[in-house]
Amino acid sequence: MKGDSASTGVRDARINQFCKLPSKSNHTICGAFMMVVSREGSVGANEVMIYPELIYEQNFCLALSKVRGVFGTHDYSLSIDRQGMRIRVERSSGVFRYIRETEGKRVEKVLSSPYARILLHPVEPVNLPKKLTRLLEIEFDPVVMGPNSEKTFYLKFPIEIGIFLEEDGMRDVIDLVSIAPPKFSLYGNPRSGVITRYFRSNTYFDIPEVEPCLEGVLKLTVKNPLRENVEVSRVVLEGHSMMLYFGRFASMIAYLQIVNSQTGETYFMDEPLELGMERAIKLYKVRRMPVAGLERAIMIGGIEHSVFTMEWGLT
Amino acid sequence: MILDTILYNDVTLRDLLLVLVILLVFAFIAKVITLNLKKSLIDKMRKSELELLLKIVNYGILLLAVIVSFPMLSIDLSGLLVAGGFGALVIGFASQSVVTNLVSGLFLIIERPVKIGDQVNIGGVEGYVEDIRVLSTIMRGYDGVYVRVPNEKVFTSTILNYVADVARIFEYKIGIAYGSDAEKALNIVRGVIEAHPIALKYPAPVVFVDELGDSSVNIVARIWAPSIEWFSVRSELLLQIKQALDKGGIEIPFPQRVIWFGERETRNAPEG
Repeated sequence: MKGDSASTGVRDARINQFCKLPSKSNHTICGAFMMVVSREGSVGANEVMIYPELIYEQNFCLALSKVRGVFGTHDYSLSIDRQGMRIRVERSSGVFRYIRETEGKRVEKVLSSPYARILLHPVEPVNLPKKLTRLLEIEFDPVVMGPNSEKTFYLKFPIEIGIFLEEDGMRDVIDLVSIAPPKFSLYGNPRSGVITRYFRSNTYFDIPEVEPCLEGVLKLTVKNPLRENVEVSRVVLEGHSMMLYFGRFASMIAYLQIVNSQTGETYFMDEPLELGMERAIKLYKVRRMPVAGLERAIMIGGIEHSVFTMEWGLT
Repeated sequence: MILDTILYNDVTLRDLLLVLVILLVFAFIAKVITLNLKKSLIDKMRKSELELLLKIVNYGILLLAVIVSFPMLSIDLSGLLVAGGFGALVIGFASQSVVTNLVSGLFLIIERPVKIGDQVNIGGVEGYVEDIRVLSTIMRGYDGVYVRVPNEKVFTSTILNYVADVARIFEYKIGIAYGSDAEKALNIVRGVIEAHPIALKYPAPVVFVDELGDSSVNIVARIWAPSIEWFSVRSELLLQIKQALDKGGIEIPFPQRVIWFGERETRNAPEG
């Protein structure tokens, strides 16, 4: 098939879009031509037809994928097999299929576009196995906070991975997966309490080692302005206000401000735990919702932070 | 003075202005009341019903203004009132149940003992609430049948709202054979509950030997679950407990009674 100037322009644009190259990266595109030609053999040098699928097969853009461990941006050469979770894109019968397998469950979706990029980001861990709540409760080894004290420690939290498809600047979630054992709990009483996604963590005073697919690291700073000791062994965090970052692992930074011996307020900081961490895509926009306990917002550094009030105890 | 100018009969310009002021004040009051009603009921009633209610309230207040003010203009409404009163009496008798339902509906909307989507039992009718209207509440029974319950009945009946609280408890009674290890069985049941994601961690489930029955050692398990998932958790867990007990070699016996005929004594008895 002879490529006229118009089709060549479209083709170049497609390749540039796929590979996220500057618009005039002719040298790299010529590289792709050569690979296609050499693969097909019979196609003449002036009669090149670009098949993005062939580019995929040659993993031409693999080097351009921005991947940090599990999380990051992948092309269709994506293939992850960790902790019993297998995620890959297969090409069969001329179409690409996204396939995810976990514990005998298989999710398969046809991807109509051959150009899209796949983003694996940690998302707010309040969605699986069912969306029953927007609160995450972490129970940890008790910490006794002295009068007028502040202490920072680290907790683990369960990871949910959002698989997003990105094309033309549009991102849509196509799958959510988690291999962290799910559990729900009730914070408060059955009449006026709230259902939470429950997780048990040890208390760490240095950043703990985590399996990135399974757990993330929460940096929690507890502030006790009272003139008495207060024991803290749980924190309840509002999922839609979470600010997740990822690098080697996923992380969040949160604060627990003790109001009295039974009540505290939690909120998030929009900061990475380590330098170079990237902000994860949020599934939910931050907005105040009529959730019991989520009553107000505070201003810190000119930025509004949604506050969840833990009114049913800190232990 | 110009205000004392007589317009007709004994009606002066002052009377006319006074009537206008009264009408304007009542119109203002009607506006304030309808705006507040609209604000407080907009998410509780369907739009068409809310608009009808607002119109009734608005025109009712304006009618009251007319009744109060028109005698000042020497317009005698007593005949109209008598006729109206008689008419109202007739209509009132005819539409007694409608008015009762309407008023009950308004109280239900304000009190909100049930919400759309709730799983309820209203006066023996069980199912899901599909709609709450001014005159009636629409339900869908567990068999999928459409049920219209008049609001008067909803208002005066005992309502069981199964999902009013966020969490609900349920109980299993599991009988195991006397020959089975009860401690092991308790641990198996606890393990299954712990592994189920939606069986709540807190309030913690309670599993204990409740009774030494005629045919079995009876174990009771009390488990909390989110109200909206109560039924699915209840049905899933029981099957999982049964399978886990089978796998663990714990026998779930049939009702049985052991009868001794005293054969041994007969056999051992001295002959002759």
